[in-house]
Amino acid sequence: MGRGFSRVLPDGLVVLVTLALTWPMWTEGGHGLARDLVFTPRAPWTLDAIGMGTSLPRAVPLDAVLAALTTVLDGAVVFRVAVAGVLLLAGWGAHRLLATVLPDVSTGARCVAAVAAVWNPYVVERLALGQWALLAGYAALWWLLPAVRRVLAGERSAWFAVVTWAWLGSLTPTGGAALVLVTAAGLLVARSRRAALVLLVTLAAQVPWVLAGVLGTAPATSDATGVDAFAARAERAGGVWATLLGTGGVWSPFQVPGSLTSWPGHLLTVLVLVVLAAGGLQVARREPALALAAAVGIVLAGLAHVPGGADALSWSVAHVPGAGLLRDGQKWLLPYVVLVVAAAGCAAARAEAALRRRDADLGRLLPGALVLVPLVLMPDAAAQTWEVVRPVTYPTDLAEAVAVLDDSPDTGDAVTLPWTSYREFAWGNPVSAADPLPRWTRHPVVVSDVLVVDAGWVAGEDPRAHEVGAVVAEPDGPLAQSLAKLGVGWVLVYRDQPGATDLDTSGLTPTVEGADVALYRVPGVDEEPAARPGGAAAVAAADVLWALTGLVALLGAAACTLRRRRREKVTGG
Amino acid sequence: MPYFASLIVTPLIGAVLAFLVMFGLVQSQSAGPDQNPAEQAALVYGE
Repeated sequence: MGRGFSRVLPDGLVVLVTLALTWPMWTEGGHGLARDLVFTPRAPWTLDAIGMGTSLPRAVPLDAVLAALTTVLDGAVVFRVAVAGVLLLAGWGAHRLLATVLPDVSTGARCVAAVAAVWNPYVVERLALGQWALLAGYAALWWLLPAVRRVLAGERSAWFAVVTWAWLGSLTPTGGAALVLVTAAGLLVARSRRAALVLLVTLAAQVPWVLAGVLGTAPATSDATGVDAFAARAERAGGVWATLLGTGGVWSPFQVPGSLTSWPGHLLTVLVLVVLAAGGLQVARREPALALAAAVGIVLAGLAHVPGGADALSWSVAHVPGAGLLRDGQKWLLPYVVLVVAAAGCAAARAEAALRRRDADLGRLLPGALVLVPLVLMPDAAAQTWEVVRPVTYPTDLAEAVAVLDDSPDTGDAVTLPWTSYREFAWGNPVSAADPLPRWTRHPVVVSDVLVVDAGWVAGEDPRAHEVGAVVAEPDGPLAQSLAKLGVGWVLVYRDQPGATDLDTSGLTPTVEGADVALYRVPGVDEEPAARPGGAAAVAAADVLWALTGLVALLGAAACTLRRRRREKVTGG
Repeated sequence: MPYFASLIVTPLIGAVLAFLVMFGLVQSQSAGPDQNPAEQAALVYGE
């Protein structure tokens, strides 16, 4: 195998498995819209985008970042770059981290880690749920760990990389919180001033959503019903802990590849235990903070299943601001998955070395076979991700309605009906999808935030949505009058939805009447736009500072990498 | 590894891998849905 080929092989394999998981994204036109994944042509700059609307800052600073990116690029491009980008970064980072754990690691073992970092239950299930931004936290951790190591060793220029990866990983609160968990573990392990500074940097990366949560109007506590609904779930016989050890366990059954519900799933759990036994110690010795965070993460992931855990979680979620982050248990496997994948690379290297001593040819072949193991055990992974990443073409009626809302001087919030948070659009993919309107128009939009789940429903936190939902459910007279009393100025009806034809639209003025979408003006609403909530300016200023810091760090990290490469070239390194 | 042993081990590894691939493929195509969608009263989050 040539040296050049060996160098690009792990990266090339990552490209291949990323392509396999996201194929429809490259073969069909349109924007991403499925489950939690929403990309529109142009994300708006709204108070909700910075977490200062009436809902909890769950997608902060992600929405503001998307608004910034889609001012220069269409959302269709951003969608593809973002989704493929997080998978590529995870795979590319995985084998590079392995090379820092085992400096003389073979290309074969690097390939094992690279493929396993992308093709594993955690990544597949979270991508199938549309949570690509959480995977940005996962991808960032692969790069953050070596950067932190360089900082702890006294390399000043590595601070740029630490800030860059901490910022990227903190696009959503949970991704950011997982990075804080790892760096907090790092401080416990290293007990040095530099480790404390690293923790401070990751804490600073959380400023956009923490500040919005503190200064915003939405209650920071959540419905405790969600603890049961979003707890990690056993995917096969053997219980939830066996599933979690195998890096699966997402709360929803619809994202789980069929292969994991049976024999291959059991084999995967056994294999994970084998690789942890064979390579976990090597990784833990080199990255003790990761091992500690992984242990805490797996306990948090299964907390709802330990005696008293569900009660403690329910109380915390209902009473402690921000504890709602703990509801979705499996998310917290993030550091554990990194540990398992790195351990798989180490285990492959050990097995390869042992076999080479007996038979050089077989030893060389082994990693090639091991690379295939994740694909063999989960051959239907792409079936889960394709239905989410397959782009949709938004109806022209919806684009027209957005243009009317954006350009109209008429005030009053817009609401979308039928009143529900997730819909299966006739023009979309055959899965539930979030409402695209609030992620498209600049106009304030109120949508239902009640989550219908198997066991019933989980209440949202948005008081404005609660108010509107109550009126829509039981209007006091004609719907138009009831909505006008609440200051709702626009009604957008998704006509393909069940119940859309039964809606009372009497008294509403049609503005856009398409086959898929209708937009109505509610007469008699001419109130002044609501004053900006106090603190919005402070949050916006903090966000600008956050963005500038991230940009400077990114440029600094790029410059340092270029300089290092040039130096290595000169010295022949 | 002696020639005779490698003659046995190599096809054995191949057979195990081939079995796993076939099993995975058949399993993925034949596993029933976790829940019967017709029994769902309403569209649930995550579906």
